[in-house]
Amino acid sequence: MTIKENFKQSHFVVYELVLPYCTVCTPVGDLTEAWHTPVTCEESSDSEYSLFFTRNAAPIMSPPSTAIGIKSQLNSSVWRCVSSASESTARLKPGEGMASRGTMSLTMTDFEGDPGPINFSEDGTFFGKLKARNVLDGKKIITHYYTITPESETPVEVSASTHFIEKATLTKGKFSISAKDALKDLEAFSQQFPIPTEAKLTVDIDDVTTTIPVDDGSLFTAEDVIIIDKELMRIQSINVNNLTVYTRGSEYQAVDTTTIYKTNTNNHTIDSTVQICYVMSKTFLSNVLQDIFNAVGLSAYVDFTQWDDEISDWNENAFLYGVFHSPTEADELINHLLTDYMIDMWLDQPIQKAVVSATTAWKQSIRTITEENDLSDLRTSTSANTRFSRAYIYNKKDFQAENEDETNYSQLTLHKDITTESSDLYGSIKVKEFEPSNFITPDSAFILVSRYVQRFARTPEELSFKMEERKLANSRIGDVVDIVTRDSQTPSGEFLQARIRSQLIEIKPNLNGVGRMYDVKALSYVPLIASTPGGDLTIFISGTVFDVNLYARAGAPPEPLNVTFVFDECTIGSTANNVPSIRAGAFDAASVIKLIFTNSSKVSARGGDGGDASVTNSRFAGAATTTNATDGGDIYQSDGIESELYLNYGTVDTYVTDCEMYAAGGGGGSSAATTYVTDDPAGVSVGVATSGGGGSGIPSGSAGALSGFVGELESPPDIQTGQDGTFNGGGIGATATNFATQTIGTAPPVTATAQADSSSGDGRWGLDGGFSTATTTAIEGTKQTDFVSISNAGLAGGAIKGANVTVFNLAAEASKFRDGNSDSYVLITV
Amino acid sequence: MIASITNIASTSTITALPDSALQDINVITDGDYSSVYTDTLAGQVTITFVFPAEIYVGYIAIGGSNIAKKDSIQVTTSNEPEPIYWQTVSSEQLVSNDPFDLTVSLGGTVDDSQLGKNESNVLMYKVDTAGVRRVTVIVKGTGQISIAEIAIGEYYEIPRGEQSGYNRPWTVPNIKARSAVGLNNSPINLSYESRSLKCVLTVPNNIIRDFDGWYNFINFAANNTFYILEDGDKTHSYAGFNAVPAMTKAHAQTRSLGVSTINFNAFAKSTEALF
Repeated sequence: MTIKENFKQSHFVVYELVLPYCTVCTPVGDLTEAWHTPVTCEESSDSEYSLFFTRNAAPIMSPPSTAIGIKSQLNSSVWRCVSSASESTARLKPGEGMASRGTMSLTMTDFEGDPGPINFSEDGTFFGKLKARNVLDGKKIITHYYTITPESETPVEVSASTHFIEKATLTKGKFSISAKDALKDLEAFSQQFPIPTEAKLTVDIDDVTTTIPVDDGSLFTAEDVIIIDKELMRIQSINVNNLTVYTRGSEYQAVDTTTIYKTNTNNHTIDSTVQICYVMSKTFLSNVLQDIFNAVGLSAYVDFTQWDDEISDWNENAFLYGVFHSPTEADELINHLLTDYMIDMWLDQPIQKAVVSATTAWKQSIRTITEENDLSDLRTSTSANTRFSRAYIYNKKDFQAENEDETNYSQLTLHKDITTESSDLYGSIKVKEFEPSNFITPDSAFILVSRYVQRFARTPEELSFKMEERKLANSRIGDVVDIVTRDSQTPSGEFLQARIRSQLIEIKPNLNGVGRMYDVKALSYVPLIASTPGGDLTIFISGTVFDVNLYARAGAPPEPLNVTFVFDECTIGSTANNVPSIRAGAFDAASVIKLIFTNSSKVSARGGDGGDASVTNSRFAGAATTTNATDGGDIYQSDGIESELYLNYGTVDTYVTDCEMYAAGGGGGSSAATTYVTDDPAGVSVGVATSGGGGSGIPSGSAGALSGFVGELESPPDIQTGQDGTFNGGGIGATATNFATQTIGTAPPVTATAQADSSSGDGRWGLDGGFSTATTTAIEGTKQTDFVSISNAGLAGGAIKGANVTVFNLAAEASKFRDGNSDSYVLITV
Repeated sequence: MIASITNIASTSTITALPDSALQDINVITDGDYSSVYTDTLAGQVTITFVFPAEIYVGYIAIGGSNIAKKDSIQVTTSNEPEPIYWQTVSSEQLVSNDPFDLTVSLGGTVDDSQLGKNESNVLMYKVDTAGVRRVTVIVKGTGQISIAEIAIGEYYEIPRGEQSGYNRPWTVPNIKARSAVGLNNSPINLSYESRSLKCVLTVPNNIIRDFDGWYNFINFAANNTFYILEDGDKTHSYAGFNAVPAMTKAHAQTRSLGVSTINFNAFAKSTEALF
C-alpha cells in the first residue's frame, strides 16, 4: 500500500568530490601564495575537504555534510553547474565471475569561483584552479541520491555510490570527469597474484641438492612453497640466504592426504627466479579470495562474512587444493575462481564492499515485480549462444607447475541435459567449455557443470524495463525476483499470472528528466524448485564414473526435492576402498532419491587387494612377514536419504532397467614361512611366500606383492603370486612349497620343508577374501629358528550402506545382484 | 513594478546571531544560489548589515530562501551603526531569552508580519529610505532556515505600459511533474523537479529621453541576479537571472519612444517538497 509521502516524491543528486588538503602550507617552487593542496605545498596532506555539485533543477540547499572542518564559504556551497551526468552500475555476468565495474561520468560548466580549500582568489575560473591545485586522478567522487517527500523538510539520502576518478578534463569551459568503482584495481595492468618475489638463485644447482642459495633469504619463511623454473619445492628451514628444502621431487599433500602438488626435478641455473607460491591446502574459496584481495591492496573491500556465508550456503565443500605459482593478473585469477564456483562478485555501493552471490537455479525469489504496478516499458530479448545443454571442465592436475595443456589434467567432468537437446525442445547440443582448473575438487567440478547446465539449459531471456525509484524500493543487483507481465501468460491465456523467475543483473539510474527512473535488466531462468515443495528433477549419468556424489551432481540443491538419477550404460566404481561408488551426499533429509540403472550398467566398487608377503633370511627374527589384504569398497551409501534403486525391475519411468550390481570382493590373505634347521655342524634354511588374490570389483583388486631374499637360504625361496580380480571374479591366491637337504662331511643330512597356501578363497561377487595357511617342517635335524606369518583376508564390501534404502530387483534376476556385507535394506523382488 | 539595479549588500559588515560555527554568513551577498547560508533555528536568527556610511536603500530582497515557511519576519532599517541596546541596556537584559528586550530599532520598520506561507521563496520590499547605516532581518521560528541571498540597493521603476500577456512568474511554482502509469493508465507514482521559468519583459513605449534608467537595469540584470517586485505585496516578487537584453527597437510612430525587451529566467516559488 502506498502512503502519501511515498507516492509523491522529488529527487535530486549531489556530487561530492573529496580532496586532500594541507592545514599548514609552505608554497612550493615559485608560488607565493599558499593554496593548501598537496600539489602546491611542501607538506603532505593531513585532512580532507569536499566540494559539492548539483544541477540547476535541484532544490536550493546547503551541502549535505560539512565540506571542511573550519568556518568557510565551502560549507554553504553546492555549485549548481552540472550539465550532464550518468552512472552505470555494475552489471552482473551470471556464470562468468566478476561483474563489470560501475562507472560514472559528470560534465560541469566552468564558472567564476574558487575551489579553496582555505584561500580564495578572485581571478580565474573554478575548475581551472581546481585542476591547477590538485591531481584529480584516483580521487573519490561520491554520488548522493536524495529524495524529498512533501511531509519532510530534510531530504533523505536514498543511496550513495562512490567512484574514483580515472580522467578529468577541462575543455572549452566544460569540466568532465569519468570514474570507476573501487574494484577498478582489479582490472588489467593493475595487480598480480602471487606478488612477484624478487629473488634469484646465486649459483647453479643440480636436481638433487636441498640447499638453495638465493640473493635475499629474508623474503622467505619456512614451509613456503617456491618454484624455480617448473620445479616446486617446500622450504624446511632458512639459514640467512640458504634455503633448505624438503627432498626434491616429493609430493606435497594436504592434511586429508589429497595431493596439493607433485613435481619433477631439474637442474637450475644461476639467476633463475625463485618465486613464492600461494598454497591451497584444503583452503576454502572465501579464504582464497580474501588472501588475494589483501595481497593486492583491496582489503578494505573484503566482506568476508558475506562471502563465507554465501559460498558455504551453496557449496559447503568449496575447498581448493593446489598452488598458484606464477604471478598472474589478479582480475584474471579472481575471475577464474569465481567462474569455477558459479559465483558473481560486484561492488555493493551502499556498503562499499565487494559482495558475492551464487549463480544457481535453486535461488528463491524475494519479491514480485508486476507490470501493472511496478514496471514499465518492458522489453524481452534473447541472445544466441546463451543456452548450454552440456558443460565440461578439465580438472585434477597433480603436476601443478606443468602447462595448461589438457593432457596435464587427469579428469574431465561433464554434465548434460539430454531432455533439452531433444528435437521436442531445442534439438541441438550446445557445449560450455570451462577453462581447465588446477584447484577445483572433483565434487565441486560436478557442482559447477551441473549447476551451469541447470541454469542455462533453456535459453535465458533478458528482460529490460524501467522502474521509478519508489517502486524499486530496496531491490539490489543480484536479487532473484519474479516478474509478472501482461506478455507472460499461462497456456490457457491468463495474463498477469505467469511468473518469470529472474535475477536482477543491472540497475542503472536514469538521471535525465523529471524524477528518477531506473533502467533495470534481469536475466530469466527456469527455477528448479517448483512452487510446491518436492519438485522433480531428472539427471542423466553415462559412461565410466567413479565416486559419484549425487548431491553434487544435482547441483547441491538446498531444499528437499525428488531427484531421479538415470545411469545409462554406466560402469560405476570407486577409486578407494573407503569411498563409496555412489553416495547420496548432503541432500535435505526430506528429499527422495530414485536411481534407475539401464542399458547393461555394471556397478561395483573397488575390490580388495590381496595381502603382500615377504621372506628373507631365516636365521634372524622377522624373516617372514605379511600385510593384511584390504576390504572391498561399498557401492551405495544413502547417507540416510530415502533412496530407491531400480536394478532389474522391468520398465521404470520409461527406462528398461538392466544392470549387474556386485558388491566388491575382499582381497585374499597372504602367507610366508621360513625355517632354519641344523644337525651340527650343518644347517639348512628354506622359505616360501604366497600372496592373496585380488577381490572382484570396479576396479578389481590386485594380487598382493611379493619379495624374497636368497641370503643364506640354501634353497632359493619359492615365491608365488596370486591372481588379480576381475569385475565379477576374484583372483585365486597362490600356493608354494620349498624343500632342501644338505649333507656336510659324515654328518647325517639335514632336511627342511616350508609350505604356504593362499588359495582357499577368491573374493568374488561380494565374498570375503580367502584365508591363507603356512607350515614349516624339520624332516631331519632340529629347528633352530622358525618364522610363519599369515595375513588377514579382506572383507567384502557392501552393495548397500546407510538407512532408508529400497532395492527393486525381480526374483528372476537375483543373480545380477550380490549384496556382500550390506546394511539392512528392503528388497522388492516382485 | 520595480527592478533592482544595484546591490551593495556586500559592502556592509554582516553578522548573524546566533552565528553558525562552520558557515560564513558573507555567502548571502553574492547572488549565487549555489551558496546558501543554512542554520537550524532555535527561536530566531538576526542578520545585521552595517554599512560604513549612510546609504540610500531602495529595496531589500531575500532570495532563495525558505523564510516564508517560518513564523514571522521583522525587517528594519536604522541610521545607528550599532543596535541601541549596546549603549543602554543592562547586563541582565543582555542574557535575556526574550529577543524583544534586545532588539530596539531607531529606524523604520520595513516589515513585521506573520509568515507561514509555503510557496514564496523570494521576498522583496520597496524601502525607499535614505540615511541608513544598518539593516536588520530577524526571522523567528524553528527548523532549518536557508538563505541564498539578501540584496540591498537601488531600484528602477519599470515604465508602465508593459505588454499585456506578460508572464508573471510568481504566480506559478517552478516545478514540472510526471506520473508513471500502470497498464490502465492510472497513476502509480508521482515525481517532480524544479524548472526554469522563461520570461520576456517588453516595454513597448520606453521613453528614450529617460533611457539611462532602462540601460542601468539591463546592464545590471545581465551581470547579476536581480529582483522584481510587481506591487506592494512582498510575495509578488521573483528573482531574475540568465538575462538576455535585446536591443531597443525604434518605435514605429516616433523616435522618442523605443520598444525594449529583455529575456530572462525567473525563480519565484517552489512547492513545499522542493524546499
